[in-house]
Amino acid sequence: MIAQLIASFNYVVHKADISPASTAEGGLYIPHTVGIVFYGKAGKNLTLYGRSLVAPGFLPKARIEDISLWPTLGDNIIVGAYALVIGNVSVGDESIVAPQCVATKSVPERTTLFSSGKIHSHHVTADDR
Amino acid sequence: MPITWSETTARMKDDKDRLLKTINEQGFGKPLFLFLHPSYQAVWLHRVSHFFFGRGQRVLARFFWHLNLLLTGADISPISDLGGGLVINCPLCVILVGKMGQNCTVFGHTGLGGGVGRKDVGAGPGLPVIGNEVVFSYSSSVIGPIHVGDRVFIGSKCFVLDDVPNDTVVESDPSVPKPRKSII
Repeated sequence: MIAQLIASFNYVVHKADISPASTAEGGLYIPHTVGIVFYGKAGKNLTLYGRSLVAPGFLPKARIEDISLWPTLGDNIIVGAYALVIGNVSVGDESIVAPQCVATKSVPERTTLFSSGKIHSHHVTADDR
Repeated sequence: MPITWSETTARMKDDKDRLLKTINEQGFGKPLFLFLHPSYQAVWLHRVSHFFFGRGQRVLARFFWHLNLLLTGADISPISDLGGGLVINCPLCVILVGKMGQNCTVFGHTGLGGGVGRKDVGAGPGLPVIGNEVVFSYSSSVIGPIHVGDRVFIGSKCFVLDDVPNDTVVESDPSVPKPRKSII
């Protein structure tokens, strides 16, 4: 109850949804708090940029959850802005999840995960609007 | 046709039942304090706001909308008509403007609204119409005056601009891992 109240206070003030059951060792750095969702286990020196999201997969979320299904992050990891780490995956040590990309599979050590960078565009005439 | 109070309470009851059902599916019991759940807060405040908007009391509707924005971070417009049984896991950065059917599930960072065209397909100028039992995954967006059918799964980081038929899965391009030789 007390943990949930403190988490709710954090949610209301900083708009960062960080679960009381999630673990992060020393050196957690969050430059912009708005929009961060963190439901995971992390090692040392994690950096979470704005609107990054680390959460279990497409499960409906309860306040008290099964920690074994949460994503696991190693040491010295950077999660970029608007990036997602979803599901029961693990991210190795010293790797980077680049901005705007989705990690739904496990990422090995010392790797940078890039988004595919495709842009689909088509011409829109005035009649379509 | 403004919404009545009995219809609002029926929708609230559907929301509560579906939220408890989704929590029970994972094997956890009933939570002690349901009012601390952000999904319950966000959907309840939107129902009250939509009820007052239909009666013409715009100031009260705006007050409850703003309370919702302050408490949970979900920007659910009073004009949006959402069916019963709505569950919003992580209401952070969620924007919902439009019309939605019953038993939908919305995850965090989802956007739903207008801005592309001014055509009216049933929800208002430029706003989308969503069917029943649609799941919006993390960071998905449905923009413009389009129809989305029933039982559709919209994957994470999807940007939907065209009509989607029934029983469809929409997914985006996967990300690419590249190994790094030197350590930054």
